[in-house]
Amino acid sequence: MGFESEFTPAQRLLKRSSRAFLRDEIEPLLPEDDWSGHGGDSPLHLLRKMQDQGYFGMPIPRELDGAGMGEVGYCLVNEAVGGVDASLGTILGAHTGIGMMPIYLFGNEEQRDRFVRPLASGKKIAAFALTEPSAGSDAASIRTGAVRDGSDHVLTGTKIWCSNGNFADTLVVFAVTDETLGTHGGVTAFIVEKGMDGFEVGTIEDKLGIRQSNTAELVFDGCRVPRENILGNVGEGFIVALTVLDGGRVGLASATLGATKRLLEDCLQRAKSRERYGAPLSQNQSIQWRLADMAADIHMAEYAVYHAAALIQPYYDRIAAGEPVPRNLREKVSRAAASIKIFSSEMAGRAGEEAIRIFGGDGIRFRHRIDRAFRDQIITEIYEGTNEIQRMIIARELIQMGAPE
Amino acid sequence: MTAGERLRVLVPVTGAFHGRLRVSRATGNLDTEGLERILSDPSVRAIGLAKQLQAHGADLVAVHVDKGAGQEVLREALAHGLDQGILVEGAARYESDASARAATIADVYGQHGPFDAVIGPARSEFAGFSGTLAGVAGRLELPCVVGVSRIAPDGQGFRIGYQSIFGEYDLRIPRPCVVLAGDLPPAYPTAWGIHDAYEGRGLLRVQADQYTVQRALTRRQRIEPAREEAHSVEEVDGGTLVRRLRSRALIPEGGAP
Repeated sequence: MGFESEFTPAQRLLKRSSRAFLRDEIEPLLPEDDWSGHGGDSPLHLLRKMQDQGYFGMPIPRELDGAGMGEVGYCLVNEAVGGVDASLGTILGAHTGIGMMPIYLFGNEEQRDRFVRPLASGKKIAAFALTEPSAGSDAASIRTGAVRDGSDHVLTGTKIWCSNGNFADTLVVFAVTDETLGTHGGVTAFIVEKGMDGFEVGTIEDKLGIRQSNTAELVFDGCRVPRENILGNVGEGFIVALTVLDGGRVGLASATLGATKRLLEDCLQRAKSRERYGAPLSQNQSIQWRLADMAADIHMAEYAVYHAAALIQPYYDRIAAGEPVPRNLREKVSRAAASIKIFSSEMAGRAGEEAIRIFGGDGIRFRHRIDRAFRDQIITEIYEGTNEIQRMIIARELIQMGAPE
Repeated sequence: MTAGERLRVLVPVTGAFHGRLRVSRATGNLDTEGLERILSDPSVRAIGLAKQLQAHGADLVAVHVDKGAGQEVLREALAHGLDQGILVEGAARYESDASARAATIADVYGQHGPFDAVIGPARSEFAGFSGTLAGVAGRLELPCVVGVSRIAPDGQGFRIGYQSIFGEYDLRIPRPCVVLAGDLPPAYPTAWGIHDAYEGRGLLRVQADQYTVQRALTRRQRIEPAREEAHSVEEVDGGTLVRRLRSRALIPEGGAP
């Protein structure tokens, strides 16, 4: 099974070594119990180890202290991370796919040097702040305002559901700079730094799943952001957000792929070791079909994830170089990202349910890896744009462009 | 090494097959077709030991006597942070021959030296590698020590730590020397290291026929399983038994059995 023959030797080595590193060095240090207590303390000591491996700068070029392994390399590591812990996958995705990437793609040379370099080298962590209490799927309804005051902008408003928000050093924050223009010209992206006056972390959410990943409320109360921290052009923030969310969705899908592979591994082990009526569960055809369906899903998801990652690379390369992007490439990327986001997250949902059936009573025990995987996958159908929004993106393309040939 | 010069260490590495090994029914040999060739785990540990000297400014040069896909084995060694790799190609005729392989590594040592140490794995994929490295030490007339888990420069030698069944030892060994790595924790290449190994750091390819050894030095002998004699039990009646015993003079001709 797999995409092995399509990977370069360097990518195969990355896949193998990152998997071994995460299973040998990270997994044994994960808290056994993610449920007790608040569950909102991200394991920063584990992030440190992953940063030292270069995993926090995978798609960023070597010239900017990244690993230079591209989107495929990023997805390979994210898959390995997802196979160990979904919370770590969320932290890595929020940092790389949507926190650091907008500054790399749309930042000027000075911003890349000042912000991307420490983020890619693993010295700092990034976050992405778009969602607000009144603007979730309907991101165009954001109300956080940015009023120009001299050469600065002053931000006022509240962001919610910001992964890494409470410990990120660098945050990309979207705010309305012109209410009359809406999303096309009225929203601007700002780089907010930890410790800026007028910026505070609010509530940390207590969640059903991904409990080791912090999800924070951010409060901006007259937060003064200097001109050099405006990301891209004033009024083009929504393009920034939509562009990086495409890559973020593929990254999310790769982590989900890793999580589903791990579930299959666990289920297979259980089915082979557990005996009922004098034979292993794996001899039971109904169990075999469940395992086979999971494996078939994984097979398809693996191709689709890495196909989408390979598609995104030239798309991002053009943006980073300041070159115009052909519309058909942008549409192709968005459709591929939306499709694999839906497929991968729903695949993980199916696998989680099947895993509980295969594990029986043990599957619904709290503090068991199966219950954790089940709880962790639910969010994948919601964040980075709900699956309903992804279906809207695909349907809009279909209606405009027709069915694929 | 003189004052101001960097230490140089030669690190022989071996490969391993990644994936499930099967025995071919047709040939009785291992079926390795389609399996990826990777750096062996003992070699990773040897690199871990050599990197302790790299932390003191040493240059580490990997060498691999190719058995096919050797470039990938060496690239992986480079990904772990080694500075250079020497790939000896065209050695298929004697790659599995410890004595010939030792001669080749000794030649690399001489041609690309000077080196302050040879640090390698004690085992290879299916067997030992200590014989090969002992052979290198013998050819170069260097001291050799096995099972080392710590090493640091110490004047004109190295201070080494190794563990034996009698306890843990901290010794000093002169340089140059041959050191076989003991048990060290596993190491993992960083993403930066992997990128640089495939995009940046150089690999030096050399042909085996430029060295002194052109063939296997050890004559291969097939070891046959010991043949067991067939023993069977035959049921005979009393009269037959008596006749047979008499015919062998085990009982007198006219006497009763």
